[in-house]
Amino acid sequence: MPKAYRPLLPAFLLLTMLVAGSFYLMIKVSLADPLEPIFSLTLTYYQNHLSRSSFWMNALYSLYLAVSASLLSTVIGTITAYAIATSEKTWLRQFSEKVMQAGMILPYLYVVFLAFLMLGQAGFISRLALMLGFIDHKNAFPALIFDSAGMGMIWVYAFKGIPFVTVMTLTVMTRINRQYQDVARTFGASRLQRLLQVYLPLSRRVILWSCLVLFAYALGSFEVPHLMSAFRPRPLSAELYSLYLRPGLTSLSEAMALGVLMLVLGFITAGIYLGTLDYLLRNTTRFKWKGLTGKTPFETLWLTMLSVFWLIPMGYVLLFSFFAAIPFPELLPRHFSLQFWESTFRGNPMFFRALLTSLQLAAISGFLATLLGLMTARSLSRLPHNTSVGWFAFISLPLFAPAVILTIGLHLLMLRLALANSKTAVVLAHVLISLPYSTAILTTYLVGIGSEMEEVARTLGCNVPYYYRKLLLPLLLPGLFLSFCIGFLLSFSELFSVLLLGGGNVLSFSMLMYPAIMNSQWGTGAVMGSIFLSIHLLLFFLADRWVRRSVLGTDYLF
Amino acid sequence: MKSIIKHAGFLLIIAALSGFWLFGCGNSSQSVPEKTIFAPNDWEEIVEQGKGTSISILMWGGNPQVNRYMDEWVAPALQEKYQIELRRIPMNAPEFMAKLLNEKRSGMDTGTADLVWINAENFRTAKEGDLLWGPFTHWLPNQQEFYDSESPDLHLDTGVPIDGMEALWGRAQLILAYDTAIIAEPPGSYRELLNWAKENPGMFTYPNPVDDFAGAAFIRGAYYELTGLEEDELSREMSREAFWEISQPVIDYFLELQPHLWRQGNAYPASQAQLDDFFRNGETIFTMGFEVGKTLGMIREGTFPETVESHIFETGSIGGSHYLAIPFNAPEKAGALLVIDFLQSPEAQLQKYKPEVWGDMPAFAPVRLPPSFQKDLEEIEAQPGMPSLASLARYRLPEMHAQSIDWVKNIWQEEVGGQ
Repeated sequence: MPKAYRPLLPAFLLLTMLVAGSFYLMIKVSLADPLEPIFSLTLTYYQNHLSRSSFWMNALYSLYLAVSASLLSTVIGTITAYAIATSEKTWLRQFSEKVMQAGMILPYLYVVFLAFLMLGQAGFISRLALMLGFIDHKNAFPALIFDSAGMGMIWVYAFKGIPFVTVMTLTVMTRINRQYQDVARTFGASRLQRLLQVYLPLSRRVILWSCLVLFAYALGSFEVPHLMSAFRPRPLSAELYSLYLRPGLTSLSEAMALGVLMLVLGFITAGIYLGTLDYLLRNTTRFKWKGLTGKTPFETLWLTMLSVFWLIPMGYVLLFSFFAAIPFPELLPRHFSLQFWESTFRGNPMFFRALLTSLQLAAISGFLATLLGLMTARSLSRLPHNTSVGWFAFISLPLFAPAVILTIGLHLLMLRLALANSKTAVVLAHVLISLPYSTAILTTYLVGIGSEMEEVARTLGCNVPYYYRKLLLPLLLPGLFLSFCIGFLLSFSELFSVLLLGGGNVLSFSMLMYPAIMNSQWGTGAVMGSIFLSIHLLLFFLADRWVRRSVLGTDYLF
Repeated sequence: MKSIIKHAGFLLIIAALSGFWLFGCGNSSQSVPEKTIFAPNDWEEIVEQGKGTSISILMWGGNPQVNRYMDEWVAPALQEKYQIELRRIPMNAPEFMAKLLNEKRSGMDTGTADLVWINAENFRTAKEGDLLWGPFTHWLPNQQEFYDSESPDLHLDTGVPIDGMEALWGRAQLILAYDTAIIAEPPGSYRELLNWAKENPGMFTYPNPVDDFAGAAFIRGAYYELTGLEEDELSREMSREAFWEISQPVIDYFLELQPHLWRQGNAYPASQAQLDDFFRNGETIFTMGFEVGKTLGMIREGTFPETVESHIFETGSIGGSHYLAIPFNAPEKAGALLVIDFLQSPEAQLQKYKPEVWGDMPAFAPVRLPPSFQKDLEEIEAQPGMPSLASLARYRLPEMHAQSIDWVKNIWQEEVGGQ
């Protein structure tokens, strides 16, 4: 066995089992006639989808949404990360980093709600315009939600996506040796040039990867399109969710077939899309335009604007936990009350049990995902480039499968393994979902660290455990924490997998939070959202502090 | 290049090996032991077996009033009466349907759910897919004593024959809500609504009937007013062509209404909850829902202003009933029967009817109740803002045939929504 694979083996076995198993079962369901007791092959469901005239139009619409949302988020997110990494004002840097972390944490369903509150025809901006006399009736405000250009949906994806790209790209950008920056400045490079010549080439991988995650999510997620899209054109994922909601013995098979089609479509287009982006990013150094010379306070302006843009909507979540409604056309809420906080803490016997279970599940999944991610990343960084990319594409498969479909496949798999209806099944599913994230984060770090140090250490007679303890782990620490936090966050936000794989034996926080948001119980939903947000902000804060305490200022990776 | 082939080959071998390990054993479902059959002789035996069990009920958790009723009133009462521990698990119907279908497919004979809250098409699917245990309603003492055996919803659930596979838990009716501060006199029928919408463009809409239960009921309601057919004619089985033909006036109506709807009918709210949001936010001035006590509950919470009132078209509104069923692989079937019987009891039904508790219409026949319970019922109905059972019953429309209910959605999607 090639030596490079040794650390890969446990991760590989687990992954092959989970990914290959659930995908095999997903495809099997999509090909089976559910009305027959014994498996009988049928292509009816695929034919049904492909023969619909709206299928290709809707597929194109899905791609349009995914490309524009991910591209917008990637461009703005990268600029923001650059602004944070190079800003001279420490407090602004730290503050806007926290705001971006918070933006990344907020669950999508909240962001959908915020979109209605902000962009709706009776929303905050429209009310403001009405009050200032820019429009004379709410219907004069442009339709930004349920519009065919998908502005509302793109806003939601970008609201979550920009912070994600920022946080991910920052892991590299804050660790780029400042000497490059100083050298470039000495030679008179403008800020734009420094971004293009130094920062972008070094953080190319992480930018591409974040873009891929957002693209896959925007293509496959159903909450956002289900709640915000018009009928024609309609994203495929909204159609899929509609099939899932529709009771009927064959609708699940139909949904599975659509899911598989989306998976194939997503995987192929992602390859082309990322290939193009990669080409562009490889060639940024050829770009000669100067721009942003001199001392314009660009970073300060950009970061302040961005923080305000994110804080106002997030403040609304907190506001709603104290007020039941903001009647049209007023800007401020009415009827202050603590009833929602009280009924959540006191009136709900399941609350603390669910919170505890979720903390436990999230901590275990975060830890396991980080551990497996480290093993995988170590191996990936030693494999030949093409094998490494292929392997990475394989573990990224779950990103492309719409959540409902993936969970149903995993459920069938867990039933076969006699693991269904247990915490183990839930944890395994969460590890599977988090693994692409942890692997990507840790690969970025390992590439940055490089292999020279290990070779030097080995030449000097250093054994492997000592090398890990004294060199590798301390250098990896920020990456390990970030990977843990993301795994924790993903596990905490999961709903379908807990419902289906836990089967009622596992009661999670999300099982109490999402029904409240989905059913317009905004008071209770806002209380849960505030708790959700504070738990994660606390976690990020603690991780940051620990990293700062144990790592010296000289941990440049590049 | 050689090394790549070597690497890829190695990975493939491992993948194949683990694949064999996983799927080599094939259909494990055929080797499971024969399912333990629960066949009680009489109610005493059920009580005997069901006492002291732990019962899991899977139910939609989106209404805090319902949750509180189950957690704070039902659970302690069951604990006291039968020492049963009731575990409420918030799970929507699509999820538990997927769960049961997968468990059936995989041959899992002992599941985790003892009870599910179900009705309509989900019930039909569950029945067709053999996902339920039963028949069992003949065992239930409270249903035998206090329920009207002639009542259609004890035999048919949205047109699907019940055959003893689910027990009636409560009744609801499609009710509109509007703000009296904005409109003094709401339209009283579908035809009046059209005129009203023309005068007030963009202020009315209904939830997307393809995905939402209330939205679908709103469309069905129009059939009773606009097709000119009698109620029993609509509940009869029809051919596809015949149904398409009688639907024409309804299609015309909704096409005429469409440009005057919110967003000119280019988009519809995804659910009644979203419509509630729009209503609260001032985007529309009507909302609708299936819980009789919902409006009152939202007003008390402060979500709706106090000027909001419930409203039913004089031409009638679709009624819906909801039920409890026992999954095929429920571990504690006797205990589940005890819980169902308790939830059907007059005490539990009256408590559920109180607007401050849940506001769900009781399923029993009031005339069959002992006098003390009748007095309690009158007290509840005397509260302001509470529609009486008799008045709701007067406007309550029966359901159409199950197949027609599906077609209504298809017709809307093809002729109205997709246009």
